[in-house]
Amino acid sequence: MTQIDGLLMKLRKNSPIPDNNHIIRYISPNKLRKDENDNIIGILGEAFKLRDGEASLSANHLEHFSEPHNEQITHAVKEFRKHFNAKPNAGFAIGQVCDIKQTCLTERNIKIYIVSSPTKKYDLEGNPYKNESHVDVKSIPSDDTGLLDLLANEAWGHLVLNKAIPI
Amino acid sequence: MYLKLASTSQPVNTSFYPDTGKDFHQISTIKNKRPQELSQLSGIVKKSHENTYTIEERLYDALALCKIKTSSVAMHITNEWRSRFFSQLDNLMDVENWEEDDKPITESSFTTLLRMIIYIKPARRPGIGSTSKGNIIASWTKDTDRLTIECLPDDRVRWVLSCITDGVRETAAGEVTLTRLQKVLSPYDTDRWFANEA
Repeated sequence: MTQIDGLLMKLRKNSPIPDNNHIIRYISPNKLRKDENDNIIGILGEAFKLRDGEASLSANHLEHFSEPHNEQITHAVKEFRKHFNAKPNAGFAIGQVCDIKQTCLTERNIKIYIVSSPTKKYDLEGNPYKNESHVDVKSIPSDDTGLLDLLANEAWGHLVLNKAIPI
Repeated sequence: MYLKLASTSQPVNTSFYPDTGKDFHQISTIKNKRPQELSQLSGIVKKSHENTYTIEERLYDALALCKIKTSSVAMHITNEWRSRFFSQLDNLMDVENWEEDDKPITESSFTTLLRMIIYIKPARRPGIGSTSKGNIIASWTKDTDRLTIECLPDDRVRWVLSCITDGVRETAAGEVTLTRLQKVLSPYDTDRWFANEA
């Protein structure tokens, strides 16, 4: 493994993300689970539903960034903020690859694929760059409310609030 | 005949209600207008969603419509319930919290939510969220037990729950009409979600 500019791991496009690694996905405020007093208490299954025209879920690969784990989260969030104006009350869902895959396999007998997918992006100033940590999560059934709820609350349910990560 | 009806109808006395949400006075003014004007306003609001308004304008319209519709069923809910619910709607549809790609809450989905609230009469308000297509989501969470209901148009709901019963975790999901909702949820002791904490 070579460390280049704080990047620990570089995978080719479509390489599977190792099972013991983690992925992180942006969750907009309206897809966070709240209580009756608007306290954020988790993630809604809706957060893992594909939008019309999407073929796979987008996420970022945490182990692409250098350890420790907390630093990886901070780097991944900052990477996301480079091209997207993350809302102050949004969150990020983190899950371990093997847990996410195993939940789909055990609960629904569905094999999903979590693969590296470096993607060309434009930063907020409009300058192009490549997001090397981007991953695609393929084959999660978007109409399976029960499975999405399970992912949101267990395998992919670790929530970090955007405002908890320094600018 | 119409003039007679208009002249005898009593305007809503706003002093009965506490200040409930940032648009309260505007909504009260609108409610005091004649029914036809209210209907016309609803049409205008609906039309505006279809046009290329800014996200701020579309959210403002959607929020106003949700509050007007809620006020129209005020006799079924307490003032406090409504006041706090308005605050939740304000937060949900705050432009600072809204992704531009998401459709604002639709009238048809919100109507289903209100009818569901009237039908099941939960003492606890739900937490609220929404789908990218503008359906409102009501969720009740008690410890690790959770019930989530997506309100679809035309009195249909998509529900999913996970709860512990007799020491065993159960999960279930389905899609039903409002009239069937209580029946399909009844095996799961819904008081755990709907009853106020003592």
